Amino acid sequence: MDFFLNTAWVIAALPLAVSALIAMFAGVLRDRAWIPGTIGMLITFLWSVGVLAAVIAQPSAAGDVMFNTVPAWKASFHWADFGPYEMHMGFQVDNLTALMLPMITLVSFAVQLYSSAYMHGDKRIPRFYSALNLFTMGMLVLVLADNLFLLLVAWEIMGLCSYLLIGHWYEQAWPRYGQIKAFLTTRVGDIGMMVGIFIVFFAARDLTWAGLAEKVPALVQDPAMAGLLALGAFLIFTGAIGKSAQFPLHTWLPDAMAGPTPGSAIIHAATMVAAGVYLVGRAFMIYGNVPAWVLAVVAFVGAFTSLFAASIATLRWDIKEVLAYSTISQLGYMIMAIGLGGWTSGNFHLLTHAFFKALLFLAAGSVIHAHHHNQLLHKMGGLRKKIPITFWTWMVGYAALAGVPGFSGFFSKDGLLADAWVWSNPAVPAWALKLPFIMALTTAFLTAYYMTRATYLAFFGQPRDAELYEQAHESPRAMTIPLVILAVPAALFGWLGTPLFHHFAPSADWMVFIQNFLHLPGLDHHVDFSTEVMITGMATAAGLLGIFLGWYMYAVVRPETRASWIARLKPVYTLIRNKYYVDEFYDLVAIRTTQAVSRAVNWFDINVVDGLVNLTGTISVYASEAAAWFDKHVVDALVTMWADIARGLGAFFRRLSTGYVQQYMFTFLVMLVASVVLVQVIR
Amino acid sequence: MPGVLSWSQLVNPSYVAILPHLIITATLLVVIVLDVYFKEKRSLVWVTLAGVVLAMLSIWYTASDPKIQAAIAGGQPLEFWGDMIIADGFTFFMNGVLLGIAALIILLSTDYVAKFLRGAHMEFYEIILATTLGMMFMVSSRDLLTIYIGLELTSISSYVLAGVLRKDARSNEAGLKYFLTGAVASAVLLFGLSLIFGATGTTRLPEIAAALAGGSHVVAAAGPALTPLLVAGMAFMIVGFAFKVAAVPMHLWAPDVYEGAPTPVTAFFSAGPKGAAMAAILRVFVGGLGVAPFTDKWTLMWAAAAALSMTIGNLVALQQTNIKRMMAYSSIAQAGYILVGVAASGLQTAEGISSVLFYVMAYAVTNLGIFAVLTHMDQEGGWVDVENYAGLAKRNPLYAWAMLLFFVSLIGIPPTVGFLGKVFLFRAASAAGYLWLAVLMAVNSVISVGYYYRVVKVMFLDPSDYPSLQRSSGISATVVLSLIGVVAFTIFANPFVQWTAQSAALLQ
Repeated sequence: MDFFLNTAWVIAALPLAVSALIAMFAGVLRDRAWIPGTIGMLITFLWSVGVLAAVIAQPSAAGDVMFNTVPAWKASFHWADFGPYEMHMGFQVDNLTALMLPMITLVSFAVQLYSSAYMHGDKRIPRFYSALNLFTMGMLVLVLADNLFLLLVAWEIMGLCSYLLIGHWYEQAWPRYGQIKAFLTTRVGDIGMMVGIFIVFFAARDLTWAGLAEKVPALVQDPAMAGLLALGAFLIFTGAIGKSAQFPLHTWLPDAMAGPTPGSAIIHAATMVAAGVYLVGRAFMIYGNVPAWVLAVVAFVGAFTSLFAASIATLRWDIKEVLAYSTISQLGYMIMAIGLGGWTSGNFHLLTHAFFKALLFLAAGSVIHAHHHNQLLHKMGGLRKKIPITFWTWMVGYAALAGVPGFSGFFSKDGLLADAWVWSNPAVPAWALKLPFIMALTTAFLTAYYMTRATYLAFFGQPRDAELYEQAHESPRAMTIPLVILAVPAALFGWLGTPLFHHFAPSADWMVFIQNFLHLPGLDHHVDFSTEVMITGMATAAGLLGIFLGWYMYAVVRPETRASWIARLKPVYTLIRNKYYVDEFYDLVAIRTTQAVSRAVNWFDINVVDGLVNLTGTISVYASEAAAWFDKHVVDALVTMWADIARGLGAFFRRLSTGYVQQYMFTFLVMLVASVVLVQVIR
Repeated sequence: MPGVLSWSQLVNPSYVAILPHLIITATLLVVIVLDVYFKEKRSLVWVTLAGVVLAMLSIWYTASDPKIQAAIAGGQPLEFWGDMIIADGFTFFMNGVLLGIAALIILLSTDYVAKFLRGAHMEFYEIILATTLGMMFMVSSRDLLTIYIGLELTSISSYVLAGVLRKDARSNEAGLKYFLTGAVASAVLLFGLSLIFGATGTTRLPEIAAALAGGSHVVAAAGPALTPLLVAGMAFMIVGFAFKVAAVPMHLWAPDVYEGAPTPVTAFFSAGPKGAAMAAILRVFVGGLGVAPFTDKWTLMWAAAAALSMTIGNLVALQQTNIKRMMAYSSIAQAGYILVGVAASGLQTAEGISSVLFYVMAYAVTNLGIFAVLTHMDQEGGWVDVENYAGLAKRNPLYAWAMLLFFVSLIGIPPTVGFLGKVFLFRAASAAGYLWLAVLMAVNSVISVGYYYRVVKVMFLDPSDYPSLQRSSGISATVVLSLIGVVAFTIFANPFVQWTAQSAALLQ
């Protein structure tokens, strides 16, 4: 077992090697690029499971889970010194990392196997696989990193891979637009993050997790230092806002859907976008210690984003866009949970969400594949008979996301609602303390509604486009097997979070491991049983209400009636349908304003400046002639003089090497005498 | 294990101390004998390379000998063979660097030698080995005699190497010029050494230092005073060594010899003998003449030589169109940078020496990578002008990108090993009070961008109708090894920094 732990670096090295291999032998591999990719990722996955088992086998090493001061394994080296600042680079495996590794590698494996069929016939398959493996490496390094700096490096690698994968079909306009938009928008957050890292580094003189956990609690005793660190923590959070697509930097994620669907599944649903959540959770030794307003900001940004995105998702017609907004909404959940101090439930939701959202995306890809690349819901309908495997796996993901009791999403959502209910934060006035809970509950309702809507439109009712329906066919096995693989954790993973097993095997190693997650020192809110039951009841009721409403609106109400209702709610409908005009707002602020300013400047130029120019023009003509003479004979001469001197000196010294040995000897002799004199003369 | 004699107890440590030297000597003899019997010379090249690599590995064995190690830890490194050979960290480090240079030269010259040196195939490698042996003796002694003999072995072998293309007029000219000027320089150097010997009565550097400080029974009159004898001796030594490292104004031979000599030989000259001579300078001046009134003098002289070499080397390099000649002036400028560290080591001994050692290593690994590409271009089409490199990025992307990285390292832009080396030199110079020299070094780095960039521009931007290059595995391997070196010495710089610091600490 320790073997896997001590060789945990292989998990990062192998995908990198595979990526390089595919890039190198692109010409040879062509369509077969999926073979090394899939096999390499399967080995990496098994290795990750070995690491997880090794970590579970020694629960004593778990230590303080949240601040990861005692990782089960770490390896680092002294990288460089910057004056008094020492920098270390290294990997570490602790409980959180050990849980993340199998998730990332399993999703990546499923996606790569799936892509072997989905990308069939594409022109640039090796490029796709190479970027996919490089991306997976980036995410693995991110969770293995033992310091903020290496995390930032991995963070940027993923940004690059995201850019490459969104723009995979760069001949078309939308992918090109999407890739640039994604890269630039996340960059806005990254700049804040870099400044934040600098602030933390110069305040704490350390970027390793262990070092920060040790130093930050001492540093915040000083109010000025606490304020500085709070600013740093807030700026680092802006990086998370960008990467995890939180309001107001969420606009890039829907456009990132321009890439191939499997790429979207791993990057824009399951892993990379979760990196921001992971960052805030990982750096909790900063967030938990700095003044409380930072966590309040985190919580409200998350809660608002989740409600905001969920409301937009209710009116989308593109199946991938529904899932994209759903992702933004769920990421808002996780950010909110961590902002509420619900470290466990936030990270737990990250894991369950990764499985069921990857599953939903791949299933959506399968639907699109079956439907001749039609992504629009109002052309689908009744597909459940045509593509049964896709349908049933989609239903598992649907149940998990909608929060149907028994599926994974139900448990993790329950956990974060409980955290919201008992929230207390000194920086927030008492009347606002229940707001996140209300928002989260509303989101749960909306989530169930829009997922039911999408599911009904795609799989139930009558086919709306008979021709497409007739041609629909189940996807090949390479695509359905990954769906089945992912459906298992999507359905069952949440059970780990229940206290159920605790009664049967309280002392088993893996149970101790899980309990370490569930009951963190200092964060154990202790919700009593009746409250727990009440929250569960409210969440379940909200979910079922949403499902019922979705079913009623689309299965019972006739389309004409629906249209009349929409007409009555026209302003709200238009607002949400246009995604609250955020894109238009950016267009107005960033683009129109610039243009308006430049027009104003132009007007000023023509009417005011030109007049003055004409007035002074005549005078200038005379002055300029004098100046030109001066320029030519004095200034230019000075400028060119330096270049001439350099060149002239070079030419002069070059002339010393005449090639005549006699002359060399003579120079040598002169220098000999000169140096004897010099040694005598100088001080 | 009790009762069992360990190997190191059985072997006389005198032989352990010169094990790398012995292995090189043995390889040389074996190759000479086998040369008579073997028709297939290429396999003999591998024997040579194996010998060099084995010698490199044996340094580790020598360094881990318990007696030698204990003596180094105690601050009094052991000397062997009548105090002619010293086993200290400085010796091990420089031997490692020099053998590494020899190994890369052997690797990069395989195809060149096979193509142009049919009649003297193995002679080339035999002389390379002899030169390496001379360099190794030059750096592993604290005795003027051993240092001089090592230097002479190096020099004489170098003259032959420069003229090894017997039917090529330019190569002959280079060999003859090198011989004539080099012999005079050697004579001057030897004269300087003998003057010092006359004044102090000893050839051992620590004893010279003691005599100059006034603590010797041999020369009652010496003391810390500058007699005319000592002035002349020191001046002659400075001039002689300045010639060997091609420092301005004793550099005139270098461009002619570098241009005329076969390209692999030029590569060797630019890294090997120059690095060894730098090490010898450190031994002689810091170890032997590092006494109060003398130190001020020679640091200022070397500082002046450094300033002139950097400035003139870079300025003239701007003018060159032949890339070998350009690299000759570039190496003069680089020698100037290294001399900055030499000058600093007079006043800040440990920092100065460790910066010199690190830069010699960094410079060697970078420059050999460049010369590997130069060798390939020369052997394939006789392409030695900058304009012949047009479109290299298309003809062989590996070479073009590698050259770019090597140039970046020579200029001293992070994150390369050249940057780290320059930082250390800069720090040593400013700590020693030579801030003007450090600033001049930075200015010179900027000037050097001019000519390096021209090559980059030609490689990447200029259109060309040259064919793409053939494969040459030896040269590709050298380029890749150099690339790994340039990157690895940057990322894992710390062990080398520690190592050079330890080597420096023991010199005095």
